[in-house]
Amino acid sequence: MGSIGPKRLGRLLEEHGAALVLYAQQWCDVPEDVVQEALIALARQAEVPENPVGWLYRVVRNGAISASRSTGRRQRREAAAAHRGEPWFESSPGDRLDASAAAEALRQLPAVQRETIVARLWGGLSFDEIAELAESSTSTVHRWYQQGLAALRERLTAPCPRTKS
Amino acid sequence: MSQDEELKAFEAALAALVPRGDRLDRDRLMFLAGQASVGGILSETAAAEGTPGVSPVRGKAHGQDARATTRRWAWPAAFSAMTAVAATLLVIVVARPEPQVIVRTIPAPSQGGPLGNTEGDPGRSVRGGPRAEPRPSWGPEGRWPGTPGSSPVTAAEAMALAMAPLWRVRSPELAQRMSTATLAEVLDTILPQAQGSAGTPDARPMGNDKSSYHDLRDEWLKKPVRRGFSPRPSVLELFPPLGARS
Repeated sequence: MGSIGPKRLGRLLEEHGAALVLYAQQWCDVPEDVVQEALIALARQAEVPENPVGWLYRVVRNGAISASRSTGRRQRREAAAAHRGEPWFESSPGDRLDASAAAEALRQLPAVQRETIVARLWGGLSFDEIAELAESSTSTVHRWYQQGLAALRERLTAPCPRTKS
Repeated sequence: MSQDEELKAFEAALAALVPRGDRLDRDRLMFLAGQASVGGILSETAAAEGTPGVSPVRGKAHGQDARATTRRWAWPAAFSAMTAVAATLLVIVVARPEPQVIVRTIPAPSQGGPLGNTEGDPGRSVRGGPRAEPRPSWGPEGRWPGTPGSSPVTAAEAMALAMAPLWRVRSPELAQRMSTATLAEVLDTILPQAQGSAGTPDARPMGNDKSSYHDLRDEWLKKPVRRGFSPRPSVLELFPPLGARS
Protein backbone atom coordinates (compact mmCIF):
# COMPACT_ATOMS: atom_id res chain seq x y z
CA MET A 1 0.00 0.00 0.00
CA GLY A 2 2.82 2.44 0.88
CA SER A 3 2.80 5.83 2.46
CA ILE A 4 0.16 8.40 1.82
CA GLY A 5 0.64 10.60 -1.23
CA PRO A 6 0.47 14.38 -1.32
CA LYS A 7 -2.80 14.34 -3.23
CA ARG A 8 -4.56 12.18 -0.71
CA LEU A 9 -3.06 14.09 2.16
CA GLY A 10 -4.23 17.35 0.61
CA ARG A 11 -7.69 15.96 0.14
CA LEU A 12 -7.83 14.83 3.75
CA LEU A 13 -6.70 18.28 4.82
CA GLU A 14 -9.39 19.97 2.78
CA GLU A 15 -12.17 17.64 3.81
CA HIS A 16 -11.35 17.14 7.46
CA GLY A 17 -8.86 19.82 8.46
CA ALA A 18 -11.39 22.31 9.75
CA ALA A 19 -13.42 19.67 11.54
CA LEU A 20 -10.26 18.26 13.10
CA VAL A 21 -9.32 21.69 14.38
CA LEU A 22 -12.81 22.09 15.81
CA TYR A 23 -12.50 18.66 17.38
CA ALA A 24 -9.11 19.40 18.93
CA GLN A 25 -10.45 22.68 20.25
CA GLN A 26 -12.59 20.73 22.71
CA TRP A 27 -9.48 20.07 24.81
CA CYS A 28 -6.69 22.50 24.07
CA ASP A 29 -6.05 26.03 22.93
CA VAL A 30 -3.52 25.07 20.26
CA PRO A 31 -5.71 22.91 18.03
CA GLU A 32 -3.97 23.98 14.84
CA ASP A 33 -0.61 22.67 16.06
CA VAL A 34 -2.13 19.40 17.11
CA VAL A 35 -3.86 18.84 13.77
CA GLN A 36 -0.74 19.81 11.89
CA GLU A 37 1.34 17.34 13.85
CA ALA A 38 -1.26 14.65 13.25
CA LEU A 39 -1.20 15.17 9.50
CA ILE A 40 2.59 15.15 9.49
CA ALA A 41 2.54 11.96 11.51
CA LEU A 42 0.22 10.46 8.93
CA ALA A 43 2.67 11.42 6.22
CA ARG A 44 5.45 9.70 8.14
CA GLN A 45 3.59 6.41 8.28
CA ALA A 46 5.18 3.77 6.10
CA GLU A 47 1.77 2.23 5.54
CA VAL A 48 -1.44 4.21 5.32
CA PRO A 49 -3.82 3.23 8.12
CA GLU A 50 -6.87 1.27 7.12
CA ASN A 51 -9.12 4.12 8.19
CA PRO A 52 -7.09 7.31 7.85
CA VAL A 53 -9.88 9.58 9.04
CA GLY A 54 -10.47 7.58 12.19
CA TRP A 55 -6.74 7.36 12.72
CA LEU A 56 -6.43 11.13 12.41
CA TYR A 57 -9.21 11.74 14.90
CA ARG A 58 -7.60 9.41 17.39
CA VAL A 59 -4.19 11.05 17.00
CA VAL A 60 -5.71 14.49 17.25
CA ARG A 61 -7.63 13.52 20.35
CA ASN A 62 -4.56 12.10 22.06
CA GLY A 63 -2.45 15.03 21.02
CA ALA A 64 -4.98 17.57 22.21
CA ILE A 65 -5.39 15.88 25.57
CA SER A 66 -1.63 15.64 25.97
CA ALA A 67 -1.22 19.26 25.04
CA SER A 68 -3.82 20.28 27.57
CA ARG A 69 -2.10 18.22 30.26
CA SER A 70 1.27 19.68 29.47
CA THR A 71 0.16 23.19 30.31
CA GLY A 72 -2.25 22.67 33.14
CA ARG A 73 -5.00 20.59 34.50
CA ARG A 74 -7.28 19.16 31.92
CA GLN A 75 -10.52 20.62 33.14
CA ARG A 76 -9.06 24.08 33.45
CA ARG A 77 -7.66 23.88 29.94
CA GLU A 78 -10.94 22.57 28.55
CA ALA A 79 -12.78 25.42 30.16
CA ALA A 80 -10.28 27.90 28.86
CA ALA A 81 -10.43 26.40 25.39
CA ALA A 82 -14.19 26.23 25.42
CA HIS A 83 -14.47 29.85 26.36
CA ARG A 84 -11.84 31.18 24.04
CA GLY A 85 -13.21 34.04 22.04
CA GLU A 86 -12.33 32.85 18.55
CA PRO A 87 -15.32 31.90 16.45
CA TRP A 88 -15.74 28.23 15.80
CA PHE A 89 -17.79 28.50 12.61
CA GLU A 90 -17.81 30.62 9.52
CA SER A 91 -20.76 32.92 9.36
CA SER A 92 -22.94 32.78 6.32
CA PRO A 93 -26.15 34.67 5.59
CA GLY A 94 -27.89 31.49 4.55
CA ASP A 95 -27.39 29.71 7.83
CA ARG A 96 -30.57 28.77 9.63
CA LEU A 97 -28.76 28.92 12.94
CA ASP A 98 -26.63 31.71 14.28
CA ALA A 99 -23.00 30.53 14.18
CA SER A 100 -21.83 32.33 17.28
CA ALA A 101 -24.90 31.25 19.24
CA ALA A 102 -24.36 27.68 18.15
CA ALA A 103 -20.73 27.82 19.21
CA GLU A 104 -21.70 29.27 22.54
CA ALA A 105 -24.33 26.57 23.03
CA LEU A 106 -21.77 23.94 22.13
CA ARG A 107 -19.32 25.31 24.67
CA GLN A 108 -21.90 24.93 27.40
CA LEU A 109 -22.47 21.26 26.69
CA PRO A 110 -20.77 18.58 28.75
CA ALA A 111 -17.47 17.53 27.21
CA VAL A 112 -18.59 14.06 26.16
CA GLN A 113 -21.71 15.38 24.45
CA ARG A 114 -19.77 18.15 22.74
CA GLU A 115 -17.11 15.75 21.50
CA THR A 116 -19.71 13.33 20.20
CA ILE A 117 -21.65 16.00 18.33
CA VAL A 118 -18.55 17.54 16.76
CA ALA A 119 -17.19 14.17 15.67
CA ARG A 120 -20.58 13.11 14.29
CA LEU A 121 -21.85 16.24 12.64
CA TRP A 122 -18.67 17.81 11.28
CA GLY A 123 -16.26 14.88 11.39
CA GLY A 124 -18.70 12.52 9.75
CA LEU A 125 -17.66 9.64 12.02
CA SER A 126 -20.02 6.81 12.74
CA PHE A 127 -21.19 6.10 16.25
CA ASP A 128 -18.99 3.02 16.32
CA GLU A 129 -15.94 5.08 15.46
CA ILE A 130 -16.85 7.69 18.06
CA ALA A 131 -17.37 4.97 20.65
CA GLU A 132 -13.94 3.63 19.87
CA LEU A 133 -12.46 7.09 20.20
CA ALA A 134 -14.20 7.82 23.46
CA GLU A 135 -13.55 4.29 24.73
CA SER A 136 -17.20 3.80 25.42
CA SER A 137 -20.07 1.78 24.02
CA THR A 138 -21.98 2.70 20.89
CA SER A 139 -25.24 2.96 22.78
CA THR A 140 -23.70 5.30 25.30
CA VAL A 141 -22.27 7.50 22.60
CA HIS A 142 -25.61 7.52 20.82
CA ARG A 143 -27.31 8.59 24.04
CA TRP A 144 -24.77 11.39 24.51
CA TYR A 145 -25.47 12.55 20.97
CA GLN A 146 -29.22 12.61 21.43
CA GLN A 147 -28.97 14.40 24.75
CA GLY A 148 -26.55 16.95 23.32
CA LEU A 149 -28.73 17.61 20.32
CA ALA A 150 -31.78 18.04 22.51
CA ALA A 151 -29.92 20.46 24.73
CA LEU A 152 -28.68 22.46 21.75
CA ARG A 153 -32.09 22.61 20.20
CA GLU A 154 -33.55 23.77 23.46
CA ARG A 155 -31.01 26.56 23.63
CA LEU A 156 -30.98 27.56 19.97
CA THR A 157 -34.63 27.32 19.09
CA ALA A 158 -37.62 28.55 20.96
CA PRO A 159 -39.59 25.65 22.35
CA CYS A 160 -42.96 25.17 20.72
CA PRO A 161 -45.76 25.85 23.13
CA ARG A 162 -47.72 22.69 23.76
CA THR A 163 -51.42 22.77 24.36
CA LYS A 164 -53.20 20.16 26.32
CA SER A 165 -55.92 18.46 24.33
CA MET B 1 -44.06 17.90 12.35
CA SER B 2 -43.14 15.18 14.82
CA GLN B 3 -40.49 15.58 17.42
CA ASP B 4 -38.10 13.26 15.57
CA GLU B 5 -38.52 15.23 12.39
CA GLU B 6 -37.89 18.43 14.27
CA LEU B 7 -34.75 16.98 15.74
CA LYS B 8 -33.55 15.83 12.32
CA ALA B 9 -34.22 19.22 10.87
CA PHE B 10 -32.32 20.84 13.67
CA GLU B 11 -29.50 18.33 13.21
CA ALA B 12 -29.30 19.23 9.51
CA ALA B 13 -29.28 22.93 10.30
CA LEU B 14 -26.51 22.44 12.81
CA ALA B 15 -24.49 20.34 10.39
CA ALA B 16 -24.82 23.09 7.83
CA LEU B 17 -22.59 25.28 9.94
CA VAL B 18 -19.10 25.23 8.51
CA PRO B 19 -16.11 25.08 10.86
CA ARG B 20 -13.50 27.70 10.23
CA GLY B 21 -11.07 26.46 7.64
CA ASP B 22 -8.56 29.27 7.66
CA ARG B 23 -6.76 28.17 10.77
CA LEU B 24 -4.39 25.75 9.06
CA ASP B 25 -1.54 26.92 6.87
CA ARG B 26 -2.01 24.48 4.06
CA ASP B 27 1.21 25.23 2.19
CA ARG B 28 3.40 24.99 5.25
CA LEU B 29 1.67 21.84 6.36
CA MET B 30 2.13 20.15 3.00
CA PHE B 31 5.78 21.18 2.97
CA LEU B 32 6.39 19.72 6.44
CA ALA B 33 4.45 16.58 5.58
CA GLY B 34 6.50 16.05 2.44
CA GLN B 35 9.70 16.59 4.35
CA ALA B 36 8.61 14.18 7.05
CA SER B 37 7.55 11.55 4.54
CA VAL B 38 10.96 11.69 2.85
CA GLY B 39 13.33 12.10 5.74
CA GLY B 40 11.23 11.63 8.78
CA ILE B 41 13.24 14.29 10.56
CA LEU B 42 10.33 15.95 12.14
CA SER B 43 12.06 16.97 15.29
CA GLU B 44 14.79 18.82 13.46
CA THR B 45 12.25 20.58 11.31
CA ALA B 46 10.22 21.55 14.30
CA ALA B 47 13.30 22.84 16.03
CA ALA B 48 14.32 24.84 12.96
CA GLU B 49 10.84 26.26 12.67
CA GLY B 50 10.70 27.09 16.33
CA THR B 51 7.62 24.99 16.91
CA PRO B 52 7.42 22.67 19.86
CA GLY B 53 8.41 19.13 19.05
CA VAL B 54 5.18 17.61 20.06
CA SER B 55 4.45 14.08 19.07
CA PRO B 56 1.14 13.93 17.24
CA VAL B 57 0.36 10.60 18.75
CA ARG B 58 1.04 11.14 22.40
CA GLY B 59 1.87 14.77 22.59
CA LYS B 60 5.42 14.19 23.80
CA ALA B 61 8.71 15.41 22.60
CA HIS B 62 10.15 13.29 19.84
CA GLY B 63 13.22 12.61 21.90
CA GLN B 64 10.95 10.78 24.29
CA ASP B 65 9.39 8.61 21.61
CA ALA B 66 12.14 6.03 21.81
CA ARG B 67 11.88 5.86 25.57
CA ALA B 68 8.12 5.64 25.38
CA THR B 69 8.38 2.86 22.85
CA THR B 70 10.83 1.03 25.09
CA ARG B 71 8.49 1.35 28.03
CA ARG B 72 5.61 0.20 25.90
CA TRP B 73 7.45 -2.94 24.91
CA ALA B 74 9.04 -3.66 28.26
CA TRP B 75 6.15 -5.51 29.85
CA PRO B 76 5.18 -7.48 26.73
CA ALA B 77 8.81 -8.48 26.33
CA ALA B 78 9.05 -9.54 29.96
CA PHE B 79 5.81 -11.44 29.65
CA SER B 80 7.03 -13.21 26.53
CA ALA B 81 10.33 -14.10 28.16
CA MET B 82 8.65 -15.54 31.24
CA THR B 83 6.23 -17.47 29.06
CA ALA B 84 9.12 -18.94 27.13
CA VAL B 85 10.87 -19.94 30.35
CA ALA B 86 7.70 -21.54 31.69
CA ALA B 87 7.14 -23.42 28.44
CA THR B 88 10.73 -24.67 28.47
CA LEU B 89 10.39 -25.90 32.03
CA LEU B 90 7.14 -27.61 31.12
CA VAL B 91 8.80 -29.39 28.24
CA ILE B 92 11.67 -30.46 30.47
CA VAL B 93 9.30 -31.81 33.10
CA VAL B 94 7.18 -33.66 30.55
CA ALA B 95 10.12 -35.07 28.64
CA ARG B 96 12.09 -36.10 31.68
CA PRO B 97 12.51 -39.89 31.81
CA GLU B 98 11.03 -41.93 34.57
CA PRO B 99 13.27 -42.37 37.57
CA GLN B 100 15.38 -45.46 37.16
CA VAL B 101 14.49 -48.11 39.71
CA ILE B 102 17.42 -50.15 40.83
CA VAL B 103 16.53 -53.35 42.65
CA ARG B 104 19.13 -54.58 45.00
CA THR B 105 18.70 -57.82 46.84
CA ILE B 106 19.92 -57.54 50.36
CA PRO B 107 20.11 -60.82 52.20
CA ALA B 108 17.81 -60.81 55.13
CA PRO B 109 19.36 -61.72 58.43
CA SER B 110 18.96 -65.39 59.11
CA GLN B 111 16.39 -66.45 61.65
CA GLY B 112 18.30 -69.63 62.37
CA GLY B 113 20.41 -68.16 65.13
CA PRO B 114 22.23 -65.12 66.41
CA LEU B 115 25.15 -65.63 64.11
CA GLY B 116 23.09 -65.78 60.91
CA ASN B 117 22.97 -69.47 60.14
CA THR B 118 19.95 -71.11 58.59
CA GLU B 119 18.45 -74.09 60.14
CA GLY B 120 18.04 -76.38 57.20
CA ASP B 121 21.09 -75.44 55.20
CA PRO B 122 23.93 -74.58 57.46
CA GLY B 123 26.39 -72.19 56.02
CA ARG B 124 23.96 -70.57 53.53
CA SER B 125 21.74 -67.55 54.05
CA VAL B 126 18.00 -67.52 53.43
CA ARG B 127 18.24 -65.67 50.09
CA GLY B 128 21.25 -67.45 48.88
CA GLY B 129 23.64 -64.73 49.96
CA PRO B 130 27.19 -65.18 51.04
CA ARG B 131 27.94 -67.99 53.31
CA ALA B 132 27.57 -67.27 57.02
CA GLU B 133 29.43 -68.55 59.95
CA PRO B 134 29.23 -72.31 60.47
CA ARG B 135 26.76 -73.63 62.88
CA PRO B 136 28.14 -73.89 66.39
CA SER B 137 29.03 -77.24 67.59
CA TRP B 138 27.89 -76.61 71.12
CA GLY B 139 24.18 -75.96 70.60
CA PRO B 140 21.58 -78.44 71.79
CA GLU B 141 20.93 -81.09 69.18
CA GLY B 142 23.37 -79.42 66.92
CA ARG B 143 21.38 -76.18 66.68
CA TRP B 144 21.68 -72.75 68.14
CA PRO B 145 20.32 -72.51 71.58
CA GLY B 146 17.19 -70.45 71.65
CA THR B 147 16.12 -71.16 68.05
CA PRO B 148 12.59 -72.43 67.54
CA GLY B 149 12.41 -76.05 68.45
CA SER B 150 15.46 -75.85 70.64
CA SER B 151 16.33 -74.21 73.84
CA PRO B 152 19.44 -74.01 75.89
CA VAL B 153 19.71 -76.89 78.23
CA THR B 154 22.65 -76.04 80.34
CA ALA B 155 23.88 -72.86 81.88
CA ALA B 156 26.96 -73.03 79.69
CA GLU B 157 24.85 -73.08 76.54
CA ALA B 158 22.79 -70.19 77.78
CA MET B 159 25.89 -68.23 78.62
CA ALA B 160 27.36 -68.86 75.18
CA LEU B 161 24.09 -67.79 73.62
CA ALA B 162 24.04 -64.61 75.65
CA MET B 163 27.57 -63.79 74.67
CA ALA B 164 27.09 -64.49 70.98
CA PRO B 165 25.78 -60.98 70.06
CA LEU B 166 28.64 -59.41 71.94
CA TRP B 167 31.13 -61.46 70.03
CA ARG B 168 29.60 -60.47 66.80
CA VAL B 169 29.72 -56.83 67.70
CA ARG B 170 33.22 -56.91 69.03
CA SER B 171 34.84 -59.01 66.36
CA PRO B 172 33.56 -61.20 63.51
CA GLU B 173 36.69 -63.27 63.90
CA LEU B 174 35.85 -63.93 67.54
CA ALA B 175 32.30 -64.86 66.60
CA GLN B 176 33.62 -67.21 63.95
CA ARG B 177 36.01 -68.80 66.36
CA MET B 178 33.38 -69.20 69.03
CA SER B 179 30.95 -70.80 66.68
CA THR B 180 33.33 -73.58 65.86
CA ALA B 181 34.62 -74.07 69.36
CA THR B 182 33.34 -76.55 71.80
CA LEU B 183 31.28 -75.39 74.68
CA ALA B 184 34.14 -76.01 77.03
CA GLU B 185 36.36 -73.84 74.90
CA VAL B 186 33.72 -71.14 74.90
CA LEU B 187 33.69 -71.21 78.67
CA ASP B 188 37.45 -71.14 78.68
CA THR B 189 37.22 -67.88 76.82
CA ILE B 190 34.50 -66.33 78.89
CA LEU B 191 35.33 -67.32 82.40
CA PRO B 192 38.87 -65.98 82.66
CA GLN B 193 37.49 -62.58 81.74
CA ALA B 194 34.91 -62.95 84.43
CA GLN B 195 37.70 -64.08 86.72
CA GLY B 196 39.46 -60.83 85.99
CA SER B 197 42.54 -62.39 84.47
CA ALA B 198 43.71 -62.97 80.98
CA GLY B 199 45.36 -66.07 79.64
CA THR B 200 44.75 -69.71 80.24
CA PRO B 201 42.46 -70.46 83.15
CA ASP B 202 44.07 -72.26 85.95
CA ALA B 203 43.06 -74.11 89.03
CA ARG B 204 43.05 -71.09 91.33
CA PRO B 205 39.99 -70.50 93.41
CA MET B 206 37.36 -68.23 91.92
CA GLY B 207 36.92 -65.19 94.12
CA ASN B 208 35.80 -66.04 97.62
CA ASP B 209 34.76 -69.46 96.46
CA LYS B 210 37.06 -72.23 97.26
CA SER B 211 36.26 -74.10 94.09
CA SER B 212 38.54 -73.78 91.14
CA TYR B 213 37.77 -72.61 87.68
CA HIS B 214 37.60 -76.15 86.39
CA ASP B 215 35.06 -77.06 89.02
CA LEU B 216 32.98 -74.08 88.04
CA ARG B 217 33.20 -74.89 84.37
CA ASP B 218 32.20 -78.46 84.89
CA GLU B 219 29.31 -77.37 87.01
CA TRP B 220 28.01 -74.96 84.35
CA LEU B 221 28.33 -77.55 81.69
CA LYS B 222 25.89 -79.68 83.64
CA LYS B 223 23.78 -77.11 85.43
CA PRO B 224 20.32 -76.84 83.86
CA VAL B 225 19.31 -73.39 82.75
CA ARG B 226 16.80 -71.44 84.75
CA ARG B 227 13.23 -71.41 83.60
CA GLY B 228 12.02 -68.39 81.63
CA PHE B 229 15.27 -68.02 79.74
CA SER B 230 15.25 -65.21 77.14
CA PRO B 231 17.50 -65.46 74.08
CA ARG B 232 19.30 -62.24 74.92
CA PRO B 233 19.56 -61.76 78.62
CA SER B 234 22.60 -60.39 80.21
CA VAL B 235 25.10 -62.71 81.65
CA LEU B 236 24.43 -61.43 85.11
CA GLU B 237 20.77 -62.31 84.80
CA LEU B 238 21.58 -65.82 83.81
CA PHE B 239 24.09 -66.62 86.39
CA PRO B 240 24.55 -65.76 90.00
CA PRO B 241 27.51 -63.56 90.70
CA LEU B 242 30.77 -65.35 90.83
CA GLY B 243 31.66 -66.45 94.32
CA ALA B 244 28.02 -66.35 95.45
CA ARG B 245 26.98 -69.79 94.28
CA SER B 246 24.53 -71.57 96.45
